[in-house]
Amino acid sequence: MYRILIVPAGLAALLALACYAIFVIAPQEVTMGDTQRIVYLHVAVAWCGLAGCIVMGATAAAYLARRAPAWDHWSQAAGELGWLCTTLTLATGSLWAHEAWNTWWTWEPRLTASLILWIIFAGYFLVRSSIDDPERRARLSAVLAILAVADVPLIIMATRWFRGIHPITPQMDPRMRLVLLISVACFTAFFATLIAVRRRQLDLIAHTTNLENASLT
Amino acid sequence: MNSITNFARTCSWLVHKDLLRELRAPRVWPTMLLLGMILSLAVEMQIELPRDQKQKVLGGLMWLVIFFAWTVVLNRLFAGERDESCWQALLLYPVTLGMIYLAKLVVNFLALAAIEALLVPALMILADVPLLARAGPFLAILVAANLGLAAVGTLVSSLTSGLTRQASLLVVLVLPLASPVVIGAGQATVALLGGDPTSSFRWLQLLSVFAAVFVGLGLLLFEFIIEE
Amino acid sequence: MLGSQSLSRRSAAGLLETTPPPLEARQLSRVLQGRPILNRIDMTIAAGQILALTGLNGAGKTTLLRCLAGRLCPTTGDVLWYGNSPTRRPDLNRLVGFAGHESFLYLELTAMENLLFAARMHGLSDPQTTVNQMLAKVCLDKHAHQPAGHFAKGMRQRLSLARALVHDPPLVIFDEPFSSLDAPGRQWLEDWLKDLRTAGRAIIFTTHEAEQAQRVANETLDLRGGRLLPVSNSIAASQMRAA
Repeated sequence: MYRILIVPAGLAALLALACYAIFVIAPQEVTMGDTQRIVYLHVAVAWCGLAGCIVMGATAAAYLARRAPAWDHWSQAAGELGWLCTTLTLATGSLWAHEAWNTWWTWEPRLTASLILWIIFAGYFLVRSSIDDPERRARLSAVLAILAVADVPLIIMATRWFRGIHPITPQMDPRMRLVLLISVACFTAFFATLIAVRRRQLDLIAHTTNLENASLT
Repeated sequence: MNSITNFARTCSWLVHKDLLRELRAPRVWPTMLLLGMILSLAVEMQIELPRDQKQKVLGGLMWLVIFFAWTVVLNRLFAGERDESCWQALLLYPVTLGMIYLAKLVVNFLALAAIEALLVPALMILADVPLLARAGPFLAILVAANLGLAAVGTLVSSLTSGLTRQASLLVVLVLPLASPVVIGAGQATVALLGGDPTSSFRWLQLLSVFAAVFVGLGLLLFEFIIEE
Repeated sequence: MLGSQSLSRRSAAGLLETTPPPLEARQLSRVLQGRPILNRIDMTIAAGQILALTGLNGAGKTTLLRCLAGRLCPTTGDVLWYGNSPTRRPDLNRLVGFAGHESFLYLELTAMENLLFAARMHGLSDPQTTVNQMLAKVCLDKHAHQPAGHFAKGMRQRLSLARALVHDPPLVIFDEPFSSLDAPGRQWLEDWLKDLRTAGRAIIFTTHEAEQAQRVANETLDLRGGRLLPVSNSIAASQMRAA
């Protein structure tokens, strides 16, 4: 009976570790004070959003190659969590920007690219919701996911080619760098687990639907 | 060599068919051109800036106007094939899906070229934007941007064709996917007008990469969109 | 499985020696949202044969024909044209002439332009001559330069059939070709199909009229519950044997 608590307990532990690192281990930043701690969450979820998009595209390619529904479920789950992380990226980025630059938003290339990625995720789910046939939905969503992933290198290119007010290589205290790594690792593990749980949920939904259809014929 | 000739010939017949259809019953292109003119006039009238600043701003906004006028054509690119199930007939011919994709891409490219043929001279006359002096580099920007837009637009148009809410889905999808081109082309044009060819060339490289990636992806993925 | 006569002849595209039958379906199944539309169908059509398919509305006739024409991928099983699978082989499309429920015509283009486009897509060496002959065959030569959208339904149906046959395919698949045709038009099409059979084409068509099927076809099959069931030997076959 207690096996059912392993995953939630593990997720809670990861979050607790991240919070401990962010609020206890990380020193207070000289200019911005405690507000600067948002950046540990912001960078972590930004990375998870990007990773979610990449996983969505990679599993979509696997679906087109193998046509196993499980790959489509992985793609959908990664897309959902990636979208959530990108939403958190924009929210935390906005909070940080207001404190750092006294503006809620700026059309700086990397922020703009994150917003574009958010809209692409939204379009992906609009397409999914427009198609009833499961096979067609999986196939067209997979194509769209691959196109979305092709956008990701442009985000990386934009960061390197154009200077904006977004810090590119911030000079960080070694402890801050350590906390950043811990935060990224914890949140990556957290969202990866959520993707796996969601994928399992989608598998069960599909299995139930197939059983219902079989019983009707 | 023979297969390349056949490929080119078949693509040309496909393009010819689409252009002939539009010529016989102009449904889309007049709307596209008129919308482009109206949008560009509206934009130019709203901007009250010194001449050199206005030129730079319009150099960027021009691409936004081109993009929105072009979405009118995009809507009909594959929707026209669904009338009388002509799409089914296309797939019955001994032509590869790559040929069909490239033919649609060419039609898309020509539609963009038509909008630009109208809007760019209008911009040069009405807002005194000195693009003629930089015709060579600007032409390179046009070609690279058109190729990128046409590639992604053809893919998205085929993907959303036949779906419910097709028209709104098309714009929601193509705008973010094509935004690197709209931004890149705008920035390249602004840099060109601002006398910064190095920066303009760097954006041109981005446009070229985008075009290459999405034309390649189109050839790879089109069959997955089309299959039943 | 139908009995077959094997003929040795080159296909329209000159690609294959036809020891295998023009059309063969093996354990063909098509499932849609968990529901089997076609259920392990086996069938063969030989050159110089006409097969008629009947069935109630919604039985799956159009789905079957689209699978046989290579337009729909079967869920399981194979469709073979002269022993070759048409999957990912667009070059084999030269072997088939398919006309469906819809006209497959560009309504803005004239009859001539529609057929010229089809002829060019099939890579015919002299498309203009072939199209002129086909327009005369379907009695639309006087309307060659009118847009297809201006045609009455029967005329559009004839043009649609012409489009399907402009490249003289050895395998002909028609979905309800007699619909929209008046009585003289139906007689004309019946005669044309018989001429094509005499010329060695393999033909399959669907119809709701059992009498028509028996008049024209060598064999009639009824699609029911996803399976093909023989109806009876046709009147035409009996007459052929008597002759």
